Amino acid sequence: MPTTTQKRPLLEVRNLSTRIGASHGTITVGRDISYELNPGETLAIVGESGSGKSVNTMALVGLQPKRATVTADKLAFEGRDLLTLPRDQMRTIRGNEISVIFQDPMTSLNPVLTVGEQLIEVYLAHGLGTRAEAEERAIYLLERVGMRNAAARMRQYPHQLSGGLRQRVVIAIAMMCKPKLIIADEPTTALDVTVQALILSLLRELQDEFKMALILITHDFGVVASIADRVLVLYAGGVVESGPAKDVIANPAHPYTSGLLNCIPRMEDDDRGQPLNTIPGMVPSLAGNLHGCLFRNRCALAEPACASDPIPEVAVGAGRMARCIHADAILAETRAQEGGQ
Amino acid sequence: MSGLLEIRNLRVHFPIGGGLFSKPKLLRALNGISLDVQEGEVLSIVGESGCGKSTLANAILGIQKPTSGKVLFEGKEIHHQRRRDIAERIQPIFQDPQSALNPRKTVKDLIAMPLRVRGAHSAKEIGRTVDEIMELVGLPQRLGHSYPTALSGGQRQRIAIGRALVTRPKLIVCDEPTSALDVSIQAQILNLLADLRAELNLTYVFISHDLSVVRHISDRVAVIYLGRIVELGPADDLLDDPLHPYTRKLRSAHLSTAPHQELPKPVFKGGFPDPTNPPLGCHFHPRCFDALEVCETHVPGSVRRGRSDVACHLYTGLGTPGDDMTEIRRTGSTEEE
Ligand SMILES: Nc1ncnc2c1ncn2[C@@H]1O[C@H](COP(=O)(O)OP(=O)(O)O)[C@@H](O)[C@H]1O
Ligand code: SF4
Ligand code: SF4
Ligand SMILES: [Mg+2]
Repeated sequence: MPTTTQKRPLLEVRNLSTRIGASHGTITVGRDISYELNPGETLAIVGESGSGKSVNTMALVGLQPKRATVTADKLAFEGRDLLTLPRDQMRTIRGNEISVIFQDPMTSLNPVLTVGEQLIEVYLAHGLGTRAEAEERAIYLLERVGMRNAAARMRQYPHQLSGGLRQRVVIAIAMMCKPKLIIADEPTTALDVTVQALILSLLRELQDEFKMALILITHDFGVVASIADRVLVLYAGGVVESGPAKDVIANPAHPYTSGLLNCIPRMEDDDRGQPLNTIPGMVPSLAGNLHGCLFRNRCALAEPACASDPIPEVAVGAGRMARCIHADAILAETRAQEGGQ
Repeated sequence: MSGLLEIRNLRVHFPIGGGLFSKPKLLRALNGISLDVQEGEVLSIVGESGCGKSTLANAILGIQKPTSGKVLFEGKEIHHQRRRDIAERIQPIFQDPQSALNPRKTVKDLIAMPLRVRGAHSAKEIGRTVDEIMELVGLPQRLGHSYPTALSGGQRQRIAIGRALVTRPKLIVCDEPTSALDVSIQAQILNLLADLRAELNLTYVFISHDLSVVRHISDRVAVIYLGRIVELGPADDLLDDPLHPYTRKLRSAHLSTAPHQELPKPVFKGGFPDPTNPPLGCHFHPRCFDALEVCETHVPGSVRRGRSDVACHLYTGLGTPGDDMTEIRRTGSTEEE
């Protein structure tokens, strides 16, 4: 039977920019960020602290800082324009169709309410059904996130739980309304690696089961390698590279991505006694008028052309791009390195 | 063989809770730790949060008094010496330099502090030493009069390292020194620590949860579970071929950046146990997929396998009649000296 619904991305972001007013002028913390996210897909947004991962992603759902101005040529969730959405409608989407999970579970948990009350509250607040139905779903979800004695857990307060269990509760709350998209900002950064593995597997499982898309904000390429379908590498507020996660990690096409990956000590190599690679210099100031490639003060390949706009988005293979005038050459080199190993 | 640092059956117990009508419970943060650290080596300590890593660090620094057992530095019990004397020889570097550095002091003052505390130095001597240290840890002189809040995380960690080195200590206890840093800065700090070790013949006790960092920097690794060492061995052996079921789980939970990295399978049965009421026998048995009957009742003693020591009944021979005892040298239970 021919299908009439054409395939449309769940989320379309085109040229998202975020500026924050400061006493000494404006700083641009997001510059022309573009990507698409399909239903059920996992996108990792990776970069070092201050690269703008959180600000620009939270801006999707109106959670940017007060002094921030967000602009975009397009910001569409299932075709609906998120930029012009009235506040109350944004609030309905947030929690109902898009759920947000933060690094510190206590950001989302109310210390004076029991786990059960918090789960039930989101369900009722979005008018999804009766209290009895809410309770049933709450217990079901606590079990799904791997908590034994779910009924007893419902009566506990957040402070009675470990960090890992709290994050599971937050995930259960995020799932109460059957969201189509979960945005998780460093959800496992504060947890032990063993708990991290559990939480990531859990997110993955729930995602498969409920066909949710996931935007995972992380600074950890190990997390990217193990869970993401696609990756977006941010530097100084701009996308420097994007593509299928495994391809980008195996053969980076941007000097920043390759530099960053080379800084990480590897379990597989015997690099003891050898100095690790570093990236010289510092992230430039984001104040005032920015132009050209912002990585140029740290890049060994920089040349005069790197200082002028626009730096082209070079397509480097299926679904991949890198914003660097030498992208093709770098990709060829990282491929050769891999081949030579 | 005696080391620079010798830890003998160290226990640190904390009474917790307890009110008018209830007895306090006992949290055995360290429950019989024995360990030697040789001069010039890097020994890493790994384990989940709450397993006792930081308590051990504090006991080595002389900040935490042992409930029983000994910590010997150059053959002398450190808890019988003045804190100030110990602090000159054993210095800490912590995870969060921000909270360890007084925001109202300049870089130079912060680095000079341990020398001023010691007295016995002229202002000129102190000034010269501070300049040398700044050079050593890669802090440009122009930052000397800056305040730590005006600096980056990497620069603050350099101050903390500089301050740790100013009294020329022999042993540095690093408690997650790069966990709060981005990987590019982490690489700089790890390189700096390696250079300093070579240049000053330093010894590090290095606490970290990142196994690839541990592998990069350490000669030997000790794995702690609920206050007990479960495996101790050369970094390569322990991380390439972990023996203890807990070490294997930690190893498999590590997410590498290899493109073929997959999400690890569910790592444990059950959750982290209540540390005030740890399981009998092997503390790990309720979560262990390999547990034998004997594991529920008997604490496994440490046995030598290859170049490692492992405390697990898969190797003690007590639970596996088929095991070849000639390969296994039992070194007794952790209850003995
Ligand atoms: N509330 C705020 N007010 C002013 N600047 C902010 C605020 N939040 C973030 N920023 C700035 O925006 C930039 C990006 O920050 P962020 O998105 O938090 O980065 P990341 O999540 O990648 O660490 C940084 O320069 C940061 O200082
Ligand atoms: S555009 Fe120029 S400065 Fe930027 S990463 Fe490429 S070569 Fe380096
Ligand atoms: S002693 Fe028994 S329970 Fe403990 S780790 Fe070994 S096999 Fe598992
Ligand atoms: Mg962030």
